[in-house]
Amino acid sequence: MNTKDVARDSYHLATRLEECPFNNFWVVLLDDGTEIYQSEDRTDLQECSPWMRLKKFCVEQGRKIMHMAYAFRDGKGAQINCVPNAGGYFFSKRVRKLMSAHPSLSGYTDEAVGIGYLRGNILTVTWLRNDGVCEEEHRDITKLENEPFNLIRS
Amino acid sequence: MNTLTFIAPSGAPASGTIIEQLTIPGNTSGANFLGFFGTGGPEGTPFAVIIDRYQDKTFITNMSGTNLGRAPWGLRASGQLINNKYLTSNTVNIDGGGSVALSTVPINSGTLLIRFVPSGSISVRTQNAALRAVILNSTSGVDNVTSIVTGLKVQGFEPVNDSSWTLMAGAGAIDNQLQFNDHNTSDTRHDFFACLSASPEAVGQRNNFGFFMIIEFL
Repeated sequence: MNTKDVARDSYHLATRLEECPFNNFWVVLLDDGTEIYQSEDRTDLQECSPWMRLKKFCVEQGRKIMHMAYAFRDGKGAQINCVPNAGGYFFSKRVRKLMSAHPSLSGYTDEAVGIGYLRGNILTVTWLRNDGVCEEEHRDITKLENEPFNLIRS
Repeated sequence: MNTLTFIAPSGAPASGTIIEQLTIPGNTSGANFLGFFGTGGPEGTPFAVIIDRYQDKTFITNMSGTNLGRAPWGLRASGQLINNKYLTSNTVNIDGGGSVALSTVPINSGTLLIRFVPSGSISVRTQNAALRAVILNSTSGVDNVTSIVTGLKVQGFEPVNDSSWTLMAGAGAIDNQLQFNDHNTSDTRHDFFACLSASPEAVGQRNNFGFFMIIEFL
């Protein structure tokens, strides 16, 4: 089987754009030219997250991510491009909530997705909030308690 | 939708009460929060905490410090939470019971339980979860999630996982957050317990800050 077949049949990854149900989605380019698209979380699989299945696929099949982007099918957002040939790539979700007695701010909550890449020890993450605001963050991964579990090293 | 809920983990009100839901009809002085008081609590004497000392009572209150857990909700809904009083960098006084090493504090002694449930019944791992003490700005929302709150010391620790307090606000604070251990096992629900203690650095009520919970997951 070729890489696409293995990714699709054994790791339940989306190898064609048509298999991606989202308007906003991550897409990666592997070192053999295969593209993998974000697909839905699968509660029927031991690993729900397609990103974590992609990590398993890369480790077990010896593939590397050469490039990653976060794209918008409707063109309403600016595509977020990670640098190519990075030391690793990162995808995460984030939720935040405020507990406060402030009359108008109490209960403030937002969600975001994070797209990132590793250069040296610095992980650069762009957080795209659900209100459309982007925040960039830099982390020295040597100072973290654990390496991020959702970092796929190249 | 992903849900993040602040809960009274035990004690009064009844275990598992969602703090945001505990309110008196007609309350117009702000939503629910944590109030830190002297030995008299929010309606007794002394209610205030002396400068550079830490609180003896913790209650669910509104912005004015009014206890929100009283009648008509009944006796169980007193609004009082487990009190975790800072003693030294590695000891705590829980509900007046005397000095206890942080490393021996059981998980259900937390002031606060923060529960995360991802949408769609999916199992996720979490990392980089943190509870931040943040300054509030009435016009622009959360003013700056990384600014150190001033005029007030806030200490916190995660029971079972921490053996010393983290200074989250006030003079000497390096960072404004209490970092929780990563949850490396996938689950459809993740609970984070926090023990919190507060001490005023100056005279006067402090209500221009809040606690901001952040969780990364996949």
